[in-house]
Amino acid sequence: MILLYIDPGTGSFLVQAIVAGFLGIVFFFKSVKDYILGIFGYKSKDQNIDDK
Amino acid sequence: MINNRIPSSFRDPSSFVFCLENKIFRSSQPNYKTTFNYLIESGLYNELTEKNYLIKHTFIRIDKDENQIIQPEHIPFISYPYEWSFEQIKDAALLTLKIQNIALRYNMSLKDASIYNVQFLNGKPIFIDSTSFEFNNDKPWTAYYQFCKHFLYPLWIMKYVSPELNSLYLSNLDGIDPKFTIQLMPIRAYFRLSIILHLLTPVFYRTNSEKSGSKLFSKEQHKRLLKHLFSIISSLHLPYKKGGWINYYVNGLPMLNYFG
Repeated sequence: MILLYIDPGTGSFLVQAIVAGFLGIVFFFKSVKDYILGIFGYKSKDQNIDDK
Repeated sequence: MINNRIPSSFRDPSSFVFCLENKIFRSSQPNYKTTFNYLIESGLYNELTEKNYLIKHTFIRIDKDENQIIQPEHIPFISYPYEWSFEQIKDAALLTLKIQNIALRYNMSLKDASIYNVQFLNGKPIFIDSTSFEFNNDKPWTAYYQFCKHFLYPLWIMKYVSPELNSLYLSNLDGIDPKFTIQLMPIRAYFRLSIILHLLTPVFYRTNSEKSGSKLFSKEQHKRLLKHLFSIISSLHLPYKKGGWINYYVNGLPMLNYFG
């Protein structure tokens, strides 16, 4: 018997493709929203993954 | 040295941990050599250790079977997720995502996102498995589903059901199954896009074959996924509950001149 490191299908590659595709639309509208709010001086306070 | 192998270190085929004279060492197999050397030489190891995201190690030697022996920095106190608070689990999750995000820049990726790969050192979470990295080559994140089971679903359950359910880690060592999470979550939770995307989609679309695995997943898509997971987790907070001590100074002390 081979011990599998992580269970089969763990990659859920199809799921990630669906989720990432959908997020493309979400982030597009979010960037539009942030841009418009930015004009009025509002800045998003969300913590970002690239923050130091 | 194999005799001193720590029994719980059995999963990863590329390395294992052993104990010798009360010191902890990690031995990585010859087939993992290229990957491990790339981790060090690419600068990823330096960047992660400078930020205190990954545990530092000292190279000891290459043994007669070509295994590389390293000695990771000593962690004096080992704790487990079922002992951690909501915020600690959240910090561990954010650390895993940050590491994956940085690794992508070096064309590397975490091959597993187990919560047991994180410990707390000097009050901060730190990733302890130096051999959890693999080449990415524009593949989707192998450990995405594991990340959800080990971090995202437990955090949601703690938030929406009860913070005491970190005890579920005890009975679910491989993380919490999405179907079980669905049974626990209240209806109101399903009005959130994040829950539809990361909890319902895996249940409906997850297949047990990796036939779609050959598909390329651009770095841009990968980063978008990580960014979304990061923003979901960083904005999770436990509901505010009034505890017995909240009005202590108002009601708890009978009189202001109580102490004379």
